[in-house]
Amino acid sequence: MNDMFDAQFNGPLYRPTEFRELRAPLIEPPRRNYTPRSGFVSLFGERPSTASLGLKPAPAPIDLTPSDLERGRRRILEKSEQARAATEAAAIAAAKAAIAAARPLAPLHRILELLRERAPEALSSRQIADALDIDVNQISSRLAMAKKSGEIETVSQPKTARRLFRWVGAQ
Amino acid sequence: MNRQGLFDEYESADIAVNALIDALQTATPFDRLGIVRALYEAIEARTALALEFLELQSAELELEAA
Repeated sequence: MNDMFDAQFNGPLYRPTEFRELRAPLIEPPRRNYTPRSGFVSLFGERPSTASLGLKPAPAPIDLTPSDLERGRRRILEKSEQARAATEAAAIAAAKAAIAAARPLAPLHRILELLRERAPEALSSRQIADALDIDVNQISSRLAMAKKSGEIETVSQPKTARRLFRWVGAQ
Repeated sequence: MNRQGLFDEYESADIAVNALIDALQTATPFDRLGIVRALYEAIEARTALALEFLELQSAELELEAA
């Protein structure tokens, strides 16, 4: 059983997901001075243009105002929020796929333990319950039974138990 | 830290975010959960650096104006 369980988790590759929101840069690089040093003037008699040297032309000077910076700050926060949403969606998709792979092969408490170890905090207990296609209360009662029967040893440790119950929405 | 140094740090965080996204593409479901968790943290770090960069720009502007 364990071999099948491990093989399932390490087997199929996941379909690529687009993360355009996460790849978009939040800020632009600081202006770099592409103007050739004055030494060129004495060597060549005149200052060569950046184009003639095959260099990227210097960007136009940026006159940033406080309102520009405020706009930039809002943009960063907005982009970051999009990134969080994309990551949460990825977490839910990954959890659903992992649960689907694990469910025929492992008991519920084992799946929950694995989720607790690996899933990001972003994943709510309700999302886990939805992915498992069961009620949140059902997870709690199943875990309580597992704890009573000694199937889940970690629940006897208060800190771990709190984390676990946070996952499943008991408290 | 100067603006260039801070931007370099931001760029490193950006590279980490992109590397984790790349890793997601080929990971198995359970590995993916761990990567997503790391990605979440990397995004937060990148955001903090971007905001710090902006604050530095803002401080420089204030200095110029003073």
